Amino acid sequence: MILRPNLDDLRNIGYYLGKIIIGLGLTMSVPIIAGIAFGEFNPSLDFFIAAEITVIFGLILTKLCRREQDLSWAQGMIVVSLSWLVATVLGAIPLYLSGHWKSFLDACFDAMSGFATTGLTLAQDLDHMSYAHNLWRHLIMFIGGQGIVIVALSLFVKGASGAFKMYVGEARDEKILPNVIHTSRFIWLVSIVYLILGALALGITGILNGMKPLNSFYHGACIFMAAFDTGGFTPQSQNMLYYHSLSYEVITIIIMILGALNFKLHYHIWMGNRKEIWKDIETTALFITIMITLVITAIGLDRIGVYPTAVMLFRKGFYQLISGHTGTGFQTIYAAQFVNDWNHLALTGVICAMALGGAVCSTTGAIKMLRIGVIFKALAEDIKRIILPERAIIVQKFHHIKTIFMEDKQVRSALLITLCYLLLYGFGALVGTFFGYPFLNSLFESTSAAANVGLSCGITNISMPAALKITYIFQMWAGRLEFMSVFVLAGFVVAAIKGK
Amino acid sequence: MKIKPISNIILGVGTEIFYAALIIFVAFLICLILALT
Repeated sequence: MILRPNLDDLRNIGYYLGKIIIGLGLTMSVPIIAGIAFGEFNPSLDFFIAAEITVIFGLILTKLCRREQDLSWAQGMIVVSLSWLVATVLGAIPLYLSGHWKSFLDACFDAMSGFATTGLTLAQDLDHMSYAHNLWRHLIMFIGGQGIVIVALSLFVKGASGAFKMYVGEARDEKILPNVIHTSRFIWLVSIVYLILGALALGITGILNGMKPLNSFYHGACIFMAAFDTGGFTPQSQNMLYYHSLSYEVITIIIMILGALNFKLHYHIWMGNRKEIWKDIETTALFITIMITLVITAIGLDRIGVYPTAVMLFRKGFYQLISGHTGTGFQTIYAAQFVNDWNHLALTGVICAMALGGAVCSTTGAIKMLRIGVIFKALAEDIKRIILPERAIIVQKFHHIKTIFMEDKQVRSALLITLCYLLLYGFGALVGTFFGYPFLNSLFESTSAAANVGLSCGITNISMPAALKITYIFQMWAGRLEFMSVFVLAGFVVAAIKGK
Repeated sequence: MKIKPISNIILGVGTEIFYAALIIFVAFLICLILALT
């Protein structure tokens, strides 16, 4: 028998949801201040209106649902899945008011793309967008990369128990420190340290490449946020092609790789346990899968001879590949070149890289390295079991911060999530094919959306069908939250309709 | 959440950047080998 949720459940969910929404509203003060500083008063007004709506909505929810009780697991998951949807709609308001998006659905597409750190965009005339709106696009990526709930946890939530349930719901099942609020603050520490270093490096490189200092540091900060949070938005419509600089590309590759590392690993390395980076199953798997997918892509590109020199192959082939593998989505080629210049083998290599992703508890999406490592270890164990004598005792273990003996439940969990991702990639590809796009292109775009990457072969544009836009929004949301919160929300809705 | 001393952060950041640089180096080698063959 399914139990219908009662009023207390709704009030508990509404209260925490309200707090997260207030947090989102307060972050809109950043583009307001930036807009005023740059003398952009109309864009500032857009954010002022949106912030007012957001904060008032959040305040109404917290007042109506006032109930400081700890969240249950299901409630925590529902708060997370709902907060991402509500943040998308509210975060889209200032984008829509700017006039750079054709419809509110398009603005919601970009807001979800930002929060989910995907990077696909439907913005028009990006090159003439205000600093404030461009900053907001990158800021939501930064907030989404850390996790919308992490922002609220760091600022508002005091009770550690309810906080942990929301933290887990946001696809971060690894606690770095015993207290989850300290964990979220550590995540911010890592991000801020790298923000300063990355923005400085990119800013100075921009100046050396001829950009004006203020503009260069603004671009540096935006590009850093998009690279470290493996997002992929850029301030210019030409994406990374705009900078046309090898040094800029190398720096962004380093930032993308750093963003794809596990925050727990960052913590242990920063605590002095530096050998972890060479022992961890995730960094090992990341290294191996990057090289395997690179070989596939590079052989494909080499066969058609489109990039004849090593430097060109590196700047065009490897850059798109590492951008896809880390889930960033920066491009140094035009979207149409994927279709016109690349062959199927090269595209397949990038699709595989996008589908795999980075480390768990990082800012990347997709299947992730820990699961890939566990699945391959399990496969090796089964092969050993067949080869070795029946009486041989096989103990399989792996190193992830500490040595872990592999259990069946870890393998089952890894396989289930992997299966969910594969189904999600396939679902988007089928929808794309239904609307008349070639299958490989549809699979490319679908994997890019569901794995929160942002590379595009040209399907994502303002003229694509609304149903496909909604499909990609769903894929970005489900892929970013790693399904469980989405399933729990679906179960909650079913219980509300059919429960007794 | 205290990370002491600060040199640990600096060396930690250096280690992570070295890992990223190693990936870039090996990737470039692969590109070089394929371009030359």
